[in-house]
Amino acid sequence: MADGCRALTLDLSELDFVDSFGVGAVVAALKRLRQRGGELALVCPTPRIRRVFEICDLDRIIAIGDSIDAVTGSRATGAAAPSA
Amino acid sequence: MSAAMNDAIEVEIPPRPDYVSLVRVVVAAAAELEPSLEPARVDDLRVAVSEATTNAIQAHIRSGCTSPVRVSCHCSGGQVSVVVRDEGPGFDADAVLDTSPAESPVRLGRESGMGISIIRALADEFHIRSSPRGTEACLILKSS
Repeated sequence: MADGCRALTLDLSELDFVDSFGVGAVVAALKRLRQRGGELALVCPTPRIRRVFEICDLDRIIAIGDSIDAVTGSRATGAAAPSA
Repeated sequence: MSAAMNDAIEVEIPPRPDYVSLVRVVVAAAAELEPSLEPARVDDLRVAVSEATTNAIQAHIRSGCTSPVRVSCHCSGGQVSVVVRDEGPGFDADAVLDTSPAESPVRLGRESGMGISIIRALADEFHIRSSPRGTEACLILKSS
């Protein structure tokens, strides 16, 4: 993650599996971004992948959407979690 | 790794993280033989078993235990039960549940320790028996 990066969108569309290690990596990236006043969003259209993030309540603190447009739109409006 | 098959499938793996995916594949393949278990439930099983196995491996690594981690899987009657046994130092399962709000700095500070919460959310039943001699985590997933 570049030092100047303040807004990062992770596209997880091709992700086949995630567990708590993956969630932890996302949380680590979120912490680094917020320390510099930045924000993180996830593109996560696969329900079973998204569910793991939701179990960990990440959908309450970062934008998670089905497409890049969905999450960048919510970032512009300040919404935390766009509807699927 | 060793595996034996009678009523149950039993797998023994070295306590190394790179064996988690192997357990995931074996257990999911066994679950797919249970015709009434929906694919979405098998997906849940993959995640839950991965978490339980990772916890067991970490327990061995932290304590320097080189004994294998044992995983047994039994499928019947529309449900899959999996038991993961380790010989680690044990832990207080209730103490690892984080009930702090998701937005709190405490919660955001945690990059690990979410495995038990994930298992509890995905499994229909989840029981832990832990002692200083080891931990036995039993999870059951049923057809919807």
